[in-house]
Amino acid sequence: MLTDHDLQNELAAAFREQAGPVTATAVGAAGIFRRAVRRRRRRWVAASAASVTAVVAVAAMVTAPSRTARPALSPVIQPPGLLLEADLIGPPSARAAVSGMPPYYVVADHDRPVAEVRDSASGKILSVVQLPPGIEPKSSKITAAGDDRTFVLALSFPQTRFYLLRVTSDGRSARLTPLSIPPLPAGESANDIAISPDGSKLAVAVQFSGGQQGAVEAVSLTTGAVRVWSAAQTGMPWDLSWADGGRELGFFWDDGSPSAGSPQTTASGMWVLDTTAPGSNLMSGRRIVPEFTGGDAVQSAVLTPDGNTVIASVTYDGTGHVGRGTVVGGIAELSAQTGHPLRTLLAERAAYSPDPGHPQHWAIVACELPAVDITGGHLLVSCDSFGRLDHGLFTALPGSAAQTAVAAAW
Amino acid sequence: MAGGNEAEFEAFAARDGGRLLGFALLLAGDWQDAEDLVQLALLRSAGRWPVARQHPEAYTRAVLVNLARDRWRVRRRRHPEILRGDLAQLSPVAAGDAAATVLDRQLLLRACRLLPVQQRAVLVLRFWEDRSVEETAAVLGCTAGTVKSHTHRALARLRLALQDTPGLTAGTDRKEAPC
Repeated sequence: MLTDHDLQNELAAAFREQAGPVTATAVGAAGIFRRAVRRRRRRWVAASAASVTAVVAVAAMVTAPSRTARPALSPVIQPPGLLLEADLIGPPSARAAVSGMPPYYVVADHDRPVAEVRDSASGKILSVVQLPPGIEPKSSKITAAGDDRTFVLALSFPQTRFYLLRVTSDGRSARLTPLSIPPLPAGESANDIAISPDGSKLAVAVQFSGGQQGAVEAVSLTTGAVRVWSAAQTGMPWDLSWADGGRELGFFWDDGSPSAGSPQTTASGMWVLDTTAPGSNLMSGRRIVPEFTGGDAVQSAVLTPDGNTVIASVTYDGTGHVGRGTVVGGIAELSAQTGHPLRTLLAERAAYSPDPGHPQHWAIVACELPAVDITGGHLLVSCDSFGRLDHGLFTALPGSAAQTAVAAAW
Repeated sequence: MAGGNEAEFEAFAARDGGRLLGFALLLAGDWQDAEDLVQLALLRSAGRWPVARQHPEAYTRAVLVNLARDRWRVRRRRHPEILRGDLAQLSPVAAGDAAATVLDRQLLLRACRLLPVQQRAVLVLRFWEDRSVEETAAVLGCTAGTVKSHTHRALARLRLALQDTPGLTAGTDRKEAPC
């Protein structure tokens, strides 16, 4: 039996082991006062001295286009980056915007083992699904098939197991059953999952133990057959998306390179894989858009189901002039063929500096992009608030914290 | 912030930033949250520097604890977790193995992360920073009695958690996370 003294000593040793090495890390305040905009970090590598200097003013205002007018900013400063240079979409009327919208979405609670079926129009809870006890709610993943009724959840116990959720057409009843596919081996976790629109295949972005290697698996939900694509290089896949009738699989590869990494020296970015081609090399496909383009950084990106476009969350990470009203982030629609921006669906503008003495400094919180519907026109996003983005028209929805990695699907 | 204050703040951040990062790491449990916490805490301290400069480290620590308690969260990506094994599914290895000691401490840290933030903060301040009860109370803005009761309850909960997991408390039945 441990004495209090033993326990305290063990605790002190554990604390030293975990936190001791970081105390020598240099934290520079210069970033607050001398840099312009810095994106929200998404690195999974241990922080370097340089990355910890990201002590930057972090604030932005979502100014999605409204039905009435663009935000009255005079003069409107053009985006300093490249991926956000396309025109901000002129949204349709509210009635037109919601046409074809899925009737409900499923969202996992961040703190409790429940999933909620919520009305897409109002965010009102239609039904609550109790998830198995013992899961880690923050690690839940959800994906939707194209029929508006079939969902798959990856739940972490922490060993990741997969469940099928069938929801009635009115959303008021749902049934959760275990899928007859094996759980991920202990030590592996799911960064993301995506079920094909026809519900026949489940793609899993797997993070191996240690967090520096990953692979993508596609599991047949009818036969249980598993196909694995892996990479020889360090890095991890995220943001899975099926396109072209389940032939193409999009994924975002993050090799942990610093934000200054050029497209030529890093493989990070949005890739598309032809799943009908032979081989098991994850990087055998083509990269549609690199993580960094000019001063812009892609935070997350998914293919639309037709495979023609990419929906990307982008932030400006460059050194160009930024002032009040400058577009410093948002959701952009890119060509899947060229990677070039087609439209800006939602713009985040620099709007606030927390340090009144240095009003020239701005920052940005990246949008999360939890879900794209089967048409590609209706998105669930989490920026300064959680909500849906219907053809460029943003509507806030209740129940999910802003700027949080929300597990949701529709 | 005037030039002199800015220099003062920068010196503070350079001097104590690493230590604050370690503190935040123990509070938050992962790198990204820790950096986010330190970033925002430093910003708030900078914004109130005329007040914070009196005791900048204590001030910033208090802000860190409040941020963690408020469940402030703008996490972008989930940080990879080195220890993925389910405590109940760990496979046994020989006692006295150095890896088992590491595992014990990982289990301890994991159990620690399940504590309420205030209790966790008390443990970190007491046993990592080696602060007295009174100093801990001053940092957290509570009474010494509260610090004592938090410490007692936290240790009791850790002990309870560990008793459910063979390892620290049962030297011949150590277990190791499968990889």
